[in-house]
Amino acid sequence: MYAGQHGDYLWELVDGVLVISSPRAGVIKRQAANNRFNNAEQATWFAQGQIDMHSDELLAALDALKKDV
Amino acid sequence: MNKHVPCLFVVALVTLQMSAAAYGAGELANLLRTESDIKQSDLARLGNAVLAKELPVADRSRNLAIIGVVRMETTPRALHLAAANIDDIPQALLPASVRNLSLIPDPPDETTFARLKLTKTQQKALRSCKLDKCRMKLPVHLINTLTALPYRWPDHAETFSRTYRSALVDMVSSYRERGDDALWVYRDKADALHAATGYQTALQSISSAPQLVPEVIRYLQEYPAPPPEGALADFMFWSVLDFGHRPTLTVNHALSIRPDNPQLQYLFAIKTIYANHYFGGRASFGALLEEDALGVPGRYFVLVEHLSFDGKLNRLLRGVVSRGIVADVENRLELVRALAARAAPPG
Repeated sequence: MYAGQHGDYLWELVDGVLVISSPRAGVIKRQAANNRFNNAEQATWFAQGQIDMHSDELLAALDALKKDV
Repeated sequence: MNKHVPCLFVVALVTLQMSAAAYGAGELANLLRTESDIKQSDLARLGNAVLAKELPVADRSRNLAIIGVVRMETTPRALHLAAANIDDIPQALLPASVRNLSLIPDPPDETTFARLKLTKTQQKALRSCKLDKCRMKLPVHLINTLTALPYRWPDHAETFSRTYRSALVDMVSSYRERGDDALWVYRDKADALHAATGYQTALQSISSAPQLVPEVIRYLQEYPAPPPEGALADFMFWSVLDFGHRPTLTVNHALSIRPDNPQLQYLFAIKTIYANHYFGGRASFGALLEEDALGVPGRYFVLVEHLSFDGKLNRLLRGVVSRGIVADVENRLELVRALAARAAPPG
């Protein structure tokens, strides 16, 4: 398992699934991660890249979660 | 929102068909030394400039290979962050040769190619397309569809454009599911050409290229196979590049990787799965090498681009395209350096 924080988001890589969450709103997105990593650096960069590439989608999901609260 | 960018992929592809486990800086240095006329003295004098030159290829009328190099004080992580933000590159940073650069979402939708604006010449080409005689690279089913469309003034331009964009979305969706089997067989000329064959030809265009990063090349050829170890970003994007003759739409599959290899600190590979003009296939690779890897002080980023044309180009047209692509490679190297600096400013 690998985990970390990137910007406003927390992430975890567990059993081939990347889970992106917000400290305040909880889980925002889960996605399959078929990648194989040799070390924490590779896993961290993968997670950071996914967060960056889906920033619009994550922001929209976060807004929706906040409205529900 | 961050806007570092992407061009790494677009920009930085080094065509390293490299050799097995030991691929890396050594092969690149050899490629620079033996196949291009870029010498160590050129690198030592490079400073903040960029340098790109043609590599020898087996058949100049059908192939083109370019290698470019730039010195950059950056980190692999900065390059990765820039690549992960490919959809966020400020227009002001894009070189004039890159008219558009857009991430393709997964799955693609009807808005994916909305920013694709066809020129009047391209609209006319679509309208007049016939099997084996078309000025744009298209498959037979799309040629037939376009031929059957009603020609109604003044909506015809948008009708043809919409049909074209929709076909691109279908092609990308199918590629994600079935890989090369879903790519188009071009029927714009009498000699049919499968896009996957064009890519393969491009990869093999350098006469004595080392076999670089075989696992990356294998993944792009066998997609949707599991990605190689250390793969970071795996995405598709489209761009419109202007090489000085006709603006060319390309649809691309990109993979970035953090190799478990100290010599090669970061690499990305781009496979062009569709180009509407010129290219039967295109393969690009970009690599950030370890410090001093090229035998001169400093850290260098190398970009290699392999192209196979969709037919024989005469000397005049090849000269125009070649000069345009050399300039484009230089522009993209500048862009990669700017994006990396933006993603992680020195100090």
